[in-house]
Amino acid sequence: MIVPVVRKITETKKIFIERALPKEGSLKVKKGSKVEPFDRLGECMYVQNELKLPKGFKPEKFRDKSKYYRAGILIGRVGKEKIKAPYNGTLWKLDEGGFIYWEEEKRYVLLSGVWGTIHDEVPAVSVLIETQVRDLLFAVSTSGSASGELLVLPNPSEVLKESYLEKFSKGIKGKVVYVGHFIDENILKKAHNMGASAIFAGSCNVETFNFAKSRGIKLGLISGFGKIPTPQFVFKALDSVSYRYVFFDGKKNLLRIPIPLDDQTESTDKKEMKGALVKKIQPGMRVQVFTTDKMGRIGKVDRVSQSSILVKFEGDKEATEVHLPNFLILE
Amino acid sequence: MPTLTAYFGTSVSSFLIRNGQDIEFVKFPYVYSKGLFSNQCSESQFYRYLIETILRERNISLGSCDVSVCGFFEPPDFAFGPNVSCSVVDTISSSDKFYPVFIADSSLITKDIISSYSDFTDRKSKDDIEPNFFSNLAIFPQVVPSDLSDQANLDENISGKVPNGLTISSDTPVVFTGDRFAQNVTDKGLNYILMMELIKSAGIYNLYLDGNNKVSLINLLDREFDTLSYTSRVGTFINTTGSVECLLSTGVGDDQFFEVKKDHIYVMPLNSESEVKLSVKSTDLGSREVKVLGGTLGLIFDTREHKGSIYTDVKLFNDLLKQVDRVLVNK
Repeated sequence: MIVPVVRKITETKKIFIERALPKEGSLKVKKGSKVEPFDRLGECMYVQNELKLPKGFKPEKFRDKSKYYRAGILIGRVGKEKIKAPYNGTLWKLDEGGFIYWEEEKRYVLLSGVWGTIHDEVPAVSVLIETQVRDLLFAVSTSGSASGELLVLPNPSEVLKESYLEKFSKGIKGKVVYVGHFIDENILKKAHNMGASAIFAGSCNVETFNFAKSRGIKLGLISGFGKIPTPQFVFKALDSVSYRYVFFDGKKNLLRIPIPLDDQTESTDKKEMKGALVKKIQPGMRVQVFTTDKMGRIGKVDRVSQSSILVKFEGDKEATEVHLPNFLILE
Repeated sequence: MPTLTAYFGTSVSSFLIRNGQDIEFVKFPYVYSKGLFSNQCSESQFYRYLIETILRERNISLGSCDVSVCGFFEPPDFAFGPNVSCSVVDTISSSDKFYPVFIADSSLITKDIISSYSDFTDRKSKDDIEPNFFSNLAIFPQVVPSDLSDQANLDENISGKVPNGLTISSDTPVVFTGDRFAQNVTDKGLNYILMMELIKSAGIYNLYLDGNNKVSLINLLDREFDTLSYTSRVGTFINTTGSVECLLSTGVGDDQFFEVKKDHIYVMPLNSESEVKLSVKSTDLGSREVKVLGGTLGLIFDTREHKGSIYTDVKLFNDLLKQVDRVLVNK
C-alpha cells in the first residue's frame, strides 16, 4: 500500500530573502557581506505610527493646515472625550475632510533577521540575502506576507490564552504570533488589534478563517479547519525557535524560520526528500488520520492489512482500523 | 514499447499500463494538494515521482515508455513531454459507443455538458461541523467521509448542482465514471443511489459503473477498445411515472409477470449472464420490449410520479439503501 508522505517541516538550503527599508535611506552592507539576524543592514527616517481621528473630531487651538504636538498634550475632542497626543507628532487637516495625526519621523533600523550572505542590492532601498530556512507548511493560509519576531504561546486552554495575550499585549505589535491549538474569532480580533503582524494556530472554524480573509488579517492554520490540534513535534520545533525573526508567506502557505548554516539536519538534501514523496506503509510509521471522529489525530501504525491499517493513538487502549485513503504518513 | 496512460483528478489518480498484451489498471486514491505537499514539491514533480514509482515496481523506466496523460480539468505540465496531454473533457466527450457521466468533486461532465462549481460556502450546512468538514476537503481532497450521512450530503450537493433539464441519453449504455465513483466510499450502495438520483427522464437505461476512471484511461490508449468490458455492469434502470407491468422471459419456460406499483423504487436482483427478454408497459413508456443482461443490481424500477431528490426523502433513501445493500451482500 503506497501512501504519500507529508512533512510539516522541511528545510531549504538556498533561498533568497529580500529585506527592504520602508523608504529610501542608507544601506550599511555590501554585496558579499556575511550577516546574522541582529546585524543592521541599513536605516532611514520614517513615520512609524499614524492615528486616524474619528468623525466629529474637533482640534484644539488649530488654525493652519498642520500643527506639531508633544506626547501627552491635548490635540482635540470627540464630543466630550479628550484626545491627547499619543506620541510627538503633527496633526494634519486632510483635503477630503477629517484629520490625521502622524508620529514624527524616527530612525528605522533594518535588521537582517537571517543568517546569510548579501547576494544583491538596490542602492539605498533593499538587499537580497542568500540564506537557509526551516519551512513550516500551513494546511491553509490567507494571502499576504509579513515578518517579525516569533512569539509562541503554549497550547493552553482558551482562558489561559486570553491571559497570555494580555500579558504580552505591550510586546505583541509587529510580531508573528502562534496562539495555540485553536483560535476563535475573539482571540483573532484581539491579536490583530494588538498589532500582531501575522497570526497562526493549529486550527479554527471556517467562519473565523473567512473573517480573517475578509479583513486582510494574515492567518495560517497548521492542521486545518475545526478543532484539530497542532502536532506535538511541530509545537516543540516552534517553541525551540521562539523569539527568532520569522517570515510569514501566505501565498505559499509557509512560515519561514531562518536557521544558521550549521543547524541543518542531514535529511535536508532535496534529492532525498523528493525520493520519499510516497512510501510503502509499514508498522511503526507515524500517520495522520482523517476520519470523522479522529480528524487530524496522529497515531502509530500497529498493523497493515490489504486496504486498511490499524492505528494506535496515544491514550487509546485499542487500535483503530482506518481505511485507505483516510490517512497520510507524517514525518 | 510499454504504454502508460494516466488520469489526475480531484481526489484520485488512475493509471493504465499496457505491456505487451497485458493490461493493468492501478488506482492511487490520493492527489496533490498545496496544503500537504507544496513545501516538498510542485504538482508535476509529485505526479512524475508517482508515475516513476508505479513503473519501477513493474521494472519499466519512464524513458522506455509511451506516456499519455489527462487531468481534471487539465493535467499537470510535465517537463518530460508526454505523447498526449489533454483535459478530461476531451476523453469524456470523445466516447461514442456509450454515454459517459463523469462526476468529480462537485463537477459533472457528459458529452454535451460541463457543470462545475467550487464555492464551499455554497454547500449545504446543517450544523456547525459541516462547514469545517467541507472546507477540510479542499485541503485533504483524498478524504472519503467515514460517516454515511456525510457522504450522502456530498452526493446531494452534487445532484443539487446538476443543470436543470439535464437529459441522460438512454439510446446507448450509460457509464458513470469520474473520481466520485473511483472513491472507496463507506457504503457502496451510495454509488447506485447517486446514479438513480441523476437520471430524471423516463426511459430504459443500461447502467455501467467505472470504478477507476477507465473510460478516460482507455480513450487515451485506444478509442477502438471495448471500454464497456472493463467496467462493471450495474443493470437496467426502468424510469417511469406511475405503475409498470413487466414480463420477464428467460426463454426456458419460467416467465415471470409482476407489477411495480406507483411511487416506489424497487430493486430486483438479476444475475443472468445471457440476455433475457423484458416486456414493460407503463403510461409514459408505452409497451416496450427490451433485451437485458444481469448486473450488480439487476433490474431497478423507479415509478415515482414526482421525481424529487431521493436524499431529501429520508424514508425512501433508507429503504432504497437497504434494498441495494441487501443485493450487494449477496454478490
